[in-house]
Amino acid sequence: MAHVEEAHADHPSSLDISKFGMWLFLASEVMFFAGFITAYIVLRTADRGEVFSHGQHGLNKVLAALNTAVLIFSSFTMVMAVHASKKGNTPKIKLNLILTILCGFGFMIIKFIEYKAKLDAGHGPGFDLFYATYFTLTGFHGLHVLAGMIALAIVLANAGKFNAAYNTPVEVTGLYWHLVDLVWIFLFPIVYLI
Amino acid sequence: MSEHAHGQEAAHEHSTKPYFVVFFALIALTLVTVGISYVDIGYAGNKFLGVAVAVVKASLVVWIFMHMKDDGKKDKYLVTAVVFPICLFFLLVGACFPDVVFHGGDQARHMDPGPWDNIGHHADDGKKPADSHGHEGHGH
Repeated sequence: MAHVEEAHADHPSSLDISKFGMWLFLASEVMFFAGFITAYIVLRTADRGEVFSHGQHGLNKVLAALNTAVLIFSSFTMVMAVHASKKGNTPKIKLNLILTILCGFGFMIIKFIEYKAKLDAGHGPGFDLFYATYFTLTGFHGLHVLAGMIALAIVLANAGKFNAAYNTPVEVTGLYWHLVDLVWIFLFPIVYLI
Repeated sequence: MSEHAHGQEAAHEHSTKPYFVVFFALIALTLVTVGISYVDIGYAGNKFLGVAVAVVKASLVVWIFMHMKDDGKKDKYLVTAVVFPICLFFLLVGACFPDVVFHGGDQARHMDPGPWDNIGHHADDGKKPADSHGHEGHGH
């Protein structure tokens, strides 16, 4: 801590320590997903595109693209909530946080429709290696969306407390939510498109 | 801490215009990726473009939505502490790829799949015509 205080003395505009901590956590999250994505790529290369390209052609590109748009819109409403929190504009914070959480619900509903179609067709995680990796990657991402929604709900419950001097929870939760969007930006082309 | 930051933030955060621009850019790039996936521009071409567009989208999110543009300047350690380890990680992961590529993934093919013992299940049932794409880039 002493070091941090010093840094603040030297650089009055230096970053909030909670924000820095969140960035470090996000770096570990990137590694978490990078490990699974690497497994997907290695298994797919070993498979020479047979099981994997067959499985990929069976996925619903349109639903996934729609989900991409939903998450991008939620990232936009999130950044608007952060902006509003810096102005202490409580109604706008609430509106944007609610929109963000609703987008999270929308994402999970679309994901549910997608999963249900796969499971009804008998394509569960144990069907083949493609579906094993598909459910692992999208499943862990879905869990992150759920976790983000819970965090956002807690921030929403405290929306009245934020102003120009104190808005760290909104910003830090926002960073996490953007990471969830970021991971999907990579999963979408890797799993569904290419 | 926040009191200090406020003055700086206010100077940077007046306009929401960049957020709108990035939002529309992200939607446009998503349409581009989906569009590209319907056009066959070669195995490597499709893969490269798909990932390249994702990298551009991710950079926009990090730079503008996650405020790396401003915060990266405010804290010189942020890039060092976050971006550097991630780059190092990808470098190390990348280092394992020549093995997969040059050995055609033979070891992975012969690994005991354990309970998921059905890799190649569909490849053998002849439902799908031979996929020439899958054979490029291998040592065989």
